[in-house]
Amino acid sequence: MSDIDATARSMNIKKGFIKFFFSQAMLLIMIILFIIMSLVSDKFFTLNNIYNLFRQVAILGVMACGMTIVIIGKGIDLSAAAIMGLAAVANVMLQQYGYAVSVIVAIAVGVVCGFINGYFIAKVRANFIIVTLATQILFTATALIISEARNLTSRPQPIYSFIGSANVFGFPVIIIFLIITMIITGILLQKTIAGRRLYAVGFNDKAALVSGINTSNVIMGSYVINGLICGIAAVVLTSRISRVRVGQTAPYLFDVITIVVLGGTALTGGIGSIYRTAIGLVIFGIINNSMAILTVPYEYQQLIKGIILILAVLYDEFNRRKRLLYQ
Amino acid sequence: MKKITNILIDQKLIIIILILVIALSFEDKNFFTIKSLASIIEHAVIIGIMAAGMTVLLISGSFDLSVGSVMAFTGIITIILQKPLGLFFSVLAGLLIGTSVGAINGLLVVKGRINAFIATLGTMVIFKGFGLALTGSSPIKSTIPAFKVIGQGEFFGIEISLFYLIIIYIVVWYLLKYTKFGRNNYAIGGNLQSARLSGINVNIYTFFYFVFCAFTAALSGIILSSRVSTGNAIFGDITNMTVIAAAVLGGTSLFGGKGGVIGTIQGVIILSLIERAMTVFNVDTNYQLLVRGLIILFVVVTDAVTSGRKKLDIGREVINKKV
Repeated sequence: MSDIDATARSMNIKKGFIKFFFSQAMLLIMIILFIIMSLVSDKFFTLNNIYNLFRQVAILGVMACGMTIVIIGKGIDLSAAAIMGLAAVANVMLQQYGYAVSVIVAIAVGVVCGFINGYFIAKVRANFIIVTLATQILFTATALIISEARNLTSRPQPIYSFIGSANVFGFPVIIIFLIITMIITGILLQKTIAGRRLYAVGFNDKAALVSGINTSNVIMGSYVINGLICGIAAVVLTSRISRVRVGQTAPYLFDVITIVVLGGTALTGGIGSIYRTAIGLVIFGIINNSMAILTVPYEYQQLIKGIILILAVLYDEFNRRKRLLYQ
Repeated sequence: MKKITNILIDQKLIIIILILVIALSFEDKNFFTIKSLASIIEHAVIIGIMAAGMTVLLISGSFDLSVGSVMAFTGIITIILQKPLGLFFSVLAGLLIGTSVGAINGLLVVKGRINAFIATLGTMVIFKGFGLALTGSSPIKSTIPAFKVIGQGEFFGIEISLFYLIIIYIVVWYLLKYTKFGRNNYAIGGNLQSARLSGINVNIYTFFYFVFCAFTAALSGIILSSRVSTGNAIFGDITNMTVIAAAVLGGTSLFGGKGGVIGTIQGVIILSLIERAMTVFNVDTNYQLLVRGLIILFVVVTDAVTSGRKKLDIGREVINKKV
């Protein structure tokens, strides 16, 4: 009798351990990477470099919050980088009418783009991948047309470049901005009715529909919020750099998806959180930063990022099977 | 009367082609010469061959975003291998390596159970990265003059590459219509579960559809690099979208289970004619990009309205009936 109890208990402990391991594996990887990099390079673990690490990925982190929301709703937005590019171009071109106008227009552009995506995906119910790829081309083309494919110069006055490059008590404002964005989107996902509905829709849209959720509105909302966040990211981008070119933002897309997947937000929908994305962001930031410290050539950086994405997705699938096994 | 409207709806692609041809012939005086007509199809060969492979894959309900990268990568690897292996074996090796990317895609999707979209997005970036790393981000030149024959060689005044296109389309048409390879494809795309339950080895077939799609991409890559005698990693950045658009324009559904190569070749010709029209009418390159995006959006929306809704609404109808 007690023997069986003991076995059951040890099974439970084993189960619990495995559960914990699989739920927090990315956190462990993050810590291990951090320790390895501190040992490999003495340049890595300095306050300056840690700030740098986060500065480099802050804009990606802001975008990743939006992408997390879309992916939890079982979608993906491949036009995110293009929305940001268009909003950034709009912002820079309108800076002569004052920053208030340019910022509001940039965010509005993001919302409108998100609305276009959401309309075709949620209302017309076209394939979300092809729709967002098509809108990616559309938004890029629009940005090229309005900017006449020129390099634009952003004029960040001190007041405007405050977000991008200022420090408060030695702490970079852009990181505070990132943290605020993460907290707001995190609360939106975890504590509001709309957020919980999004999880339901992403996990099983038919069940969500039967239980009275207006699924197409929820999906639409996720794309609009993503557009809004891309617009905000564009504002941060233009406050940080002075030259804006249309194709510039294109590589961001792949990085953002990698960050979200790396954190463990499932592409099958319904699973994920901003907390996981934050961990994914830190892992990505460490890899990104260490590749720069170790001076890996650009081509190989791309290669490594691609392999990381594939591994992250494979791990995610493996994780899902294990979860099913030990439930 | 109803019969006529039905014919019009069934053959809408032919009608679009005719309208485009008529519009073009007004503007372009040399349009109705063999040379000019052939050049339109020659221009479409690369997209066309890949669209045939993509059609097969789309019918089974998956798709492949890595075709553009595979195309560029195959061209690069073929040119690099020319020196050590000689012409014949370098082309063979290029085809083999390009096709093996399809095997990787297939394994990731079938065995790794990764979403086809994200797996091929990953391989797309990886092989673009490989291409960039191998060439050091700058185009590389082919050193063997005979390599040009594959893509540029002429036969009775028509490019040889046109014959590849025709052969591929006949083969795929036959495969889809008369063999297990094709019939099972429609079954898998129509309803994966019932295909599996009726004893079709879904995994093996899906794997081979991916391999076939990558093979067509590798073949296009060799033709392209032979035409321009150059390998470049940035070839084919938007190719995957054009290829999918051509197939879906031809009536192959993104939801699987529907379509065929006869429609696809019409889609390819339409896209090619539109490209020609934009050149003839001197459309600014940025606006050309806009037009391409609009075409893709239009195509995918029509697909959703005509075939996707039906499939998605099955669940919804059941719910409504009960209520």
